[in-house]
Amino acid sequence: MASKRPSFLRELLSQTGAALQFCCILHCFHEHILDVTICIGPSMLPTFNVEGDVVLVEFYTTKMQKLKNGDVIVAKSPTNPKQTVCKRICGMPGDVVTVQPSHSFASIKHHVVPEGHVWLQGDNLANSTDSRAYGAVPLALIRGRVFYKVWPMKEAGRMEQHGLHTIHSSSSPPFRGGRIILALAQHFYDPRCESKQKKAMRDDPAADDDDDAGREAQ
Amino acid sequence: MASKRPSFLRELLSQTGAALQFCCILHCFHEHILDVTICIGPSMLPTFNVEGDVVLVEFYTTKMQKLKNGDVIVAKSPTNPKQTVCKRICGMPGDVVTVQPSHSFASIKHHVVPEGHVWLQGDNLANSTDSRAYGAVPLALIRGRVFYKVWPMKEAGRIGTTRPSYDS
Repeated sequence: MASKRPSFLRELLSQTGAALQFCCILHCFHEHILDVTICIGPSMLPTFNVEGDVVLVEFYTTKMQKLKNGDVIVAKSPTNPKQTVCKRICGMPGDVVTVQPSHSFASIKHHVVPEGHVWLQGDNLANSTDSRAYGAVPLALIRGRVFYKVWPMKEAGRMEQHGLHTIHSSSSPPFRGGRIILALAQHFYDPRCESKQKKAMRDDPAADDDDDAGREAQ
Repeated sequence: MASKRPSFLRELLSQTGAALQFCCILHCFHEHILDVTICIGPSMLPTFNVEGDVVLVEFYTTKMQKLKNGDVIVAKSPTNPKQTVCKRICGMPGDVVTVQPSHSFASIKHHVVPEGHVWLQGDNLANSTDSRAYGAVPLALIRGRVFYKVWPMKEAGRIGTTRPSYDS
């Protein structure tokens, strides 16, 4: 018995050491190379379902600072450090974002995205807590970019860059320079808005060529 | 020679694999357990010297969300994601921070620190770019807490939670 006990402890320690090594390698992999995660919630409809979609997240774009407008990203929430959010980048540093509230015509707000920050919005503008609530988000909070949807399989495929609701308005905000992006804060039922939204969600953005709607100017 | 070449490649691969394993373990250790870093710059005088002090950073307090006013922390800069800053927490969520500008008596500003954010200030208020410039900082940007100064050795010791004041 005395000859068996030390070898059992040694075996246990070596197995624990191997398991720890494996956990460290796995942790480094899904923190810096590729991650598989689930996006739950209504804030990114119709891109992601409410019940949850399995997506792949890559970290190269974030590390090389090659993020741009239209990227769907995973970030840590600025209001709760334990939470992660999945939103779309709608403004890069220097852009002017115009937010139109839905129930008051008197308080259109213009935000200049500061240096080192981005403007995040969920695709479901009516039910999304995003930069319209907590302001521009520092780039350092962004973990990675969602580039592929894995599940459900009939919706699997690369993430596209449509979904930005951009309207070139005739009245320009009182800022010069930068790109001007108009964001609808909320919209109640309005057949005109709904038809534009449905078209933009379903078809290619190039088809959505109404008189005062268009793609985001790149 | 044909019997030596595949074993050389195999040796190289196994050494590379072992080195990668070691790097991963080291990376996990200094990202989540303990880190040794250098704080350079004048913004934390007199706590840290301008030329650079070697300090130890622990991550337990941040992960357990036990940060409080007076803690010296290391965080990622909100204005430059590639930079880290070392500041002191001067306001927790819900606190009201009053900033008095030095050259104008007419614009005293009061800031309420929002939920999930902290107010950071360098100990050298005259030469520090901190929350007075870029606003409250999200807690998620904070990497860890500085708890011990290692170098220079004559100043080594724990880092306290009170900002040193000049009493002349």
